[in-house]
Amino acid sequence: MLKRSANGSYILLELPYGGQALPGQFFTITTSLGPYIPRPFSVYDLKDGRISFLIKSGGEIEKFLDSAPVIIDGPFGNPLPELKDPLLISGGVGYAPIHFYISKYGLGELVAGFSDEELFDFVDIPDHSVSVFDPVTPVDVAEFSTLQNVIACGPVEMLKIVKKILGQRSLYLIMEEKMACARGMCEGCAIMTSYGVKFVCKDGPTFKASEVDLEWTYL
Amino acid sequence: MDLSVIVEGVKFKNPVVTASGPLGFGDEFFKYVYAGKIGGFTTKTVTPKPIQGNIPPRILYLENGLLNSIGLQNPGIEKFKEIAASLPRECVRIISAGGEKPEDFSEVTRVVDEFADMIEINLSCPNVGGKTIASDFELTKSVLAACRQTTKKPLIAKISPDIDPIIQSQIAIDAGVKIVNIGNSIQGMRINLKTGRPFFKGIKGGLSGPAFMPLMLWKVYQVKEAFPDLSIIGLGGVRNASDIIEYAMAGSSLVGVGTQFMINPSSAVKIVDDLQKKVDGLKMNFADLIGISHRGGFR
Repeated sequence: MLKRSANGSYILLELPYGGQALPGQFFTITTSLGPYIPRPFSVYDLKDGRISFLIKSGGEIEKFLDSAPVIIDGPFGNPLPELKDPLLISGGVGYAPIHFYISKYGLGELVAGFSDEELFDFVDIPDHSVSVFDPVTPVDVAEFSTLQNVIACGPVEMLKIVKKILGQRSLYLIMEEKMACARGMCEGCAIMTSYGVKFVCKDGPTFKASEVDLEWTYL
Repeated sequence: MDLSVIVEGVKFKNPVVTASGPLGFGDEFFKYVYAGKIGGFTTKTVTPKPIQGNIPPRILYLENGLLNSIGLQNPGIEKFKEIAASLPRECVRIISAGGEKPEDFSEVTRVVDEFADMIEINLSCPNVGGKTIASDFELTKSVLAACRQTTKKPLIAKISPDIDPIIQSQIAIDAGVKIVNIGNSIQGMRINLKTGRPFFKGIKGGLSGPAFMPLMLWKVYQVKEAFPDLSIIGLGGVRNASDIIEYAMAGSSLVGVGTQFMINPSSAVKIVDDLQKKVDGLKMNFADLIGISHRGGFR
């Protein structure tokens, strides 16, 4: 089932799924017509035998979703650690794994950042959380939280700021990188860590912020 | 009917071999596929010293293909020895050797000799440095000669799709190499419209996937036409058993599969099973299909 946001900028793809998955894990998604390389998406929610994914419109996969059977594979990657009273920070569709985490484990505090109200209106945001909109960033608010366990997911520029401001805390970052196999074979989703090159699909997607070099990219 | 192929004295139970690179050293791939199901496994390229690989992004999605810039990331020959010892023996073990100069290749060849059924000399990685080995004919000759002197195992020259395959094949033959792998991924690039810069720091990447199968098929055809006795590994964009038969008809004794197995390792089982059904349907052994398009096709 496909649900689109008010202006069509976001899609919630919901499918029947009898298997297991934990917050932080991801699936690859394609359709019988394409795209050729399945794309990775974090789980947005899994309950009552249905799994859902939050997708930003405009990608190659979008044109096939309406017209062809969807093929998912997974779960891949390691689950998020279950933390005591975590401060959760998200930017844009980086809210997907955060939403699943909240759904499964609850939260200490949430600060969710959005570029506009369309995505904010589209997703489930729990009560007692803070949502901010550009140009305010989630870190502008999160830095005043006293919680020590932190999980963040969003654009790498946001993650850099989160690490700069909250890097002294127990901070975990959910990383994103283009990948082809999702199994650690192709070595496409490389990331530099204190232990050398690791892979988002197999070793992540969650890494301790203190161990990740966010500047190791040509982007 | 029989799917087996004998290439330079080595028997493959079927012509399906993995392409070097996308499946690493097989530890993940063989979780999905019993090694005895495929004809051969080709390792990721190994070099004398460890290589960290390229700064990301390393992958660019394309319609009908993939552009990669991995950069020969590998642990180096010393660490690879442990991996090599555990390569499954239920299929033919092809170890891919890389380097910059003849001594690098002969060093890797010497070390992996005891672990390999065949050694593939990677002359054509598109993602390290400015030029491929294959673009320098004298260097290619020296590399192949050095490897030929180092081992008695069958050698495979992995040539470049960016350079005339006839010239490269002749160089391989002159060096005593009797198997040619028709190519690596072909060099290509895309530019990021938001930044105005190439997507990859190394500017170019390697194109793989169905988009370039006709190009590689044509190269196989040309080489088989020119050198009927040369054994060819065809590869490029294979998605299914029909593609494998097409490569065989063009002249491939073995057919490499890379990207398809990378995005769906389990598809190896279906592809081999489908291939069996197709040759049964044709009432021909696979070996009889090799190069049939040069002999007037089905008659």
